[in-house]
Amino acid sequence: MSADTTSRSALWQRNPAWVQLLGLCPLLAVTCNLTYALGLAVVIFGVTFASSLSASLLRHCLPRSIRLPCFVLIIATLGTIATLLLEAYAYELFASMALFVQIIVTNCMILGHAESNASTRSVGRAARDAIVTSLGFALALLLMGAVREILGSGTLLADAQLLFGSRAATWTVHIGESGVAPLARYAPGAFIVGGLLVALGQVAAGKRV
Amino acid sequence: MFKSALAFLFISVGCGLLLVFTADLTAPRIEQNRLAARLDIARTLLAPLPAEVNLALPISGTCDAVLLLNMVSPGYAGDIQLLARWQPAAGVAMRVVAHSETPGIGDFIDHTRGPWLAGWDDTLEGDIPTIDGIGRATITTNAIKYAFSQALHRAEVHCER
Repeated sequence: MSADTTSRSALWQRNPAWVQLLGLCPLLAVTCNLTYALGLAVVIFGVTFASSLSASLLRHCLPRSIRLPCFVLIIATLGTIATLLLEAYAYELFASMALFVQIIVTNCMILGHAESNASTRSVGRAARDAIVTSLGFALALLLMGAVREILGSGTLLADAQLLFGSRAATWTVHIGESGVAPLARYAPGAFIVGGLLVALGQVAAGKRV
Repeated sequence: MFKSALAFLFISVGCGLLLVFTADLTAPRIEQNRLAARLDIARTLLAPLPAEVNLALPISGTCDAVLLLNMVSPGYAGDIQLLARWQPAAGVAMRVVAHSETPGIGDFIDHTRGPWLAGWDDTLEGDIPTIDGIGRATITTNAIKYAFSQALHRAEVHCER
């Protein structure tokens, strides 16, 4: 399988969220609007990339017996660093999604990628796989955030200033007066929209739903 | 065994150093952001803010007008940080500055997400047992009760002095 085919497959047919069903907790909890989804996507991208590089660089030094605790330690460190940076440079966004950044260490997508993929591959290959996998997860987050925000609030990119500064306050796109399905903003709506997107992902992966 | 221990130690030290470096780098800005958040919340409790109010202190203000108290109460998922306003005869009003309570279950205490805590503005000692979160998180509600009781107690002790 060529590198391009593998990349496309990780983005869609083997998407970590919709097809492999990994990292569903932040996917359901944070995606009530597109800005939060984008914020978490950036954090997860950074942590996945850095942890995969570390796992690949350390693959010859770490005995198999301590590989997993070492990766947990590295991911916890990177998650804490992401939390500190967010609190320092995007405080309002941090206040809204701090809990889900703090629990990044339990995200199976990141740990699974470091353990089963990056720790057996060269640095270049691990970096490319990490980029594609986290882009696949980001795609899931952004699609879910956009669908929930449009259905629940009738807007797109509300609160963009939390991520992009005060000039982004005018970026909000209004689609109708209010959302057609306010339930989409809340937890039950997240499960319903998430379920539908998972079904779509399974169809895209060529599985029978 | 020795190689495993050494590798784990090496990674632990590396991670520790990285954390210390990042914490040092971000500490001034985080402190500034936290103080700004407290000031915003103080303004929702008390506008205009009196000149003698200094939110960096545990208690600031005057006993004959108003006191602002920085409070910490043990919640379900760590400490809940609060800012309390005490006024003689009027009692205590409180807002949450930071918390890690479970979203959708314990975050009803956050005034930006709902009116529950504002509904207990001007609480006196006798009102505290009636603070209730029926169908809500018990530990979180108890943390708020504790914070109200502590705020009243600390204001009383401060003013007696």
